[in-house]
Amino acid sequence: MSAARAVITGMGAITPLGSTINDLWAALLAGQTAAREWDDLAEQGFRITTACRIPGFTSQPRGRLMAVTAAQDAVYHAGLSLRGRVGVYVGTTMGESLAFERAAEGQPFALDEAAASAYPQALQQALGIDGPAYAYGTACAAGNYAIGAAAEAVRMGRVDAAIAGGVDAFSRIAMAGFSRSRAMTPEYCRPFDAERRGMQLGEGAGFVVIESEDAAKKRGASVYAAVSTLGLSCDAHHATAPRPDGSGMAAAMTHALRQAGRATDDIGFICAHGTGTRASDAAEALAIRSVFPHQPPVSGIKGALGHSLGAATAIEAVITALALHHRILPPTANHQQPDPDMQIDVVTEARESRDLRWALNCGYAFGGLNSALLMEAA
Amino acid sequence: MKHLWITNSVETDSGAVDFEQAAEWAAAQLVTLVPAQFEPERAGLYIATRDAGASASISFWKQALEAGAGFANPHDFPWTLASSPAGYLALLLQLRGPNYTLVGAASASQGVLQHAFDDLAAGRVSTALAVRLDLTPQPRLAALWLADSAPPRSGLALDSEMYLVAPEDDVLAALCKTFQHRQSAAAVAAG
Repeated sequence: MSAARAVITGMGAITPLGSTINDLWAALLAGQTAAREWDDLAEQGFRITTACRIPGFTSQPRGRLMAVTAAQDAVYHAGLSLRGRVGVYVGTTMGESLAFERAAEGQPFALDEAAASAYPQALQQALGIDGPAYAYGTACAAGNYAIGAAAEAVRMGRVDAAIAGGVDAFSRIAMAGFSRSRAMTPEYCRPFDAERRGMQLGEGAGFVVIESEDAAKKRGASVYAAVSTLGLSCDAHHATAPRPDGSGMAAAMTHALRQAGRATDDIGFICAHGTGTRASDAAEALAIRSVFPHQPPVSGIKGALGHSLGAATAIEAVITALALHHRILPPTANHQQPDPDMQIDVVTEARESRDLRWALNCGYAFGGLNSALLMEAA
Repeated sequence: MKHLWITNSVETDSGAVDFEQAAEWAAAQLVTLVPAQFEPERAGLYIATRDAGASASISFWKQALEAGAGFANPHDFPWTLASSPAGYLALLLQLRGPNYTLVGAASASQGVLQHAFDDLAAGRVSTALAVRLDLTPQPRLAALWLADSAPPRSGLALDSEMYLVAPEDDVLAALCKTFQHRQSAAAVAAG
């Protein structure tokens, strides 16, 4: 691409394994998982009562405060003074779920306080900025959409800097919905494992600050990684299930590479969607094998953090940036028994990768939405 | 210079009240815009909505409270997501390119037009269906089918920088009216 590179100069994340990127990274490398039983879920009649939650984060409105905290951390990390045209790009699946739940319980309801659009508004207000602001309601791939769009806006010179990421606070609606869809595991989420039994609900927020490389250099900012191209496709196959042959996922990966003019063997790491469900993991493994015959290492972060829905690909983009920065691949927590049908290189322990330069951060969603975000070492 | 052509548009509303009915009604309107021949893998769908998923979220949780969380109807759950109309419409219309849902008022309309124009200009798609779909107080839909192929006899042409190169007042007015925010369309047109 001839346009200036869009680079990450700051990151922030609120997750069940830590609310600083250093804590999160250390916990991931140690192979920790945040999954545990929750008494309140049992008391409320949920059939599945394990989840990855952030118990210390109790202030309301919870989703908006998670987003604001993670975004403020990213801005502080970047050392950026918010002047000029600063865009806000936020992805989410459920919006502010608690507001919908309370409306169902008969409490007053305001759409502007509950819908996805509440997030960019809250960030603009908290950060005192008034540039373009977009809410991506693209379900579990939303973080990738937001970060990809922000990087393109920076490259095209539409904004001087962008704050982009995703957020979803714990949602009882999602807990009931995924459980009733028989998509959830009652024990641990085990991405790409032969004994995987399903996904596990998580929560959190992840945000990055994106600037042009020139602007970052000019102000002496540290650069952690570059955000290259976003590949998108739609299965147009089923409301909730992926195409079993993984062709839609493969198309998103291929589109990301083609736009950037990269070859498949450039990719040294894939941060996979890896929900731990039978169908999605099988389709994703097929897609990876079909696009990448050289078998790049693959990690599934949801074994550690659960599935934080719209935040997932944003938090995983932060983790991919950390992997590119440290040149260390994080392990796939709870992956114990490789699935012989998959034939992919699943990272099970933290692994050095001194030559790592390009990585893909992949995320897929209900409705057949497929996303692959290409990222590059600084 | 690359010209992008708005080849067709529709603007209508419906008395449907159920979110699934509304999506079916929207699909029936949109199918009239889609030509017989197009490349499904290079056809993008770009939806702006203020409220997709909202009423379904409330009704799903109300039902869960009545029946118990372990007995909520799984069929209704996917409709709680704002992206559910986009996934449903892509399936019915076989649009396999980028699939966007932006949530909000004018900014979401401006955003989907921007993404559609960018994808066309960059060659990521060859056709784009840009849609405004709001479900309350009653379903209302506006849509544009965009292409970079042979120009129609009349239409609005945009170059790769998205400047208007053949502005016609009536067409620009229709575009702005369709997306209900003159400034948004003007902002997109000005790049």
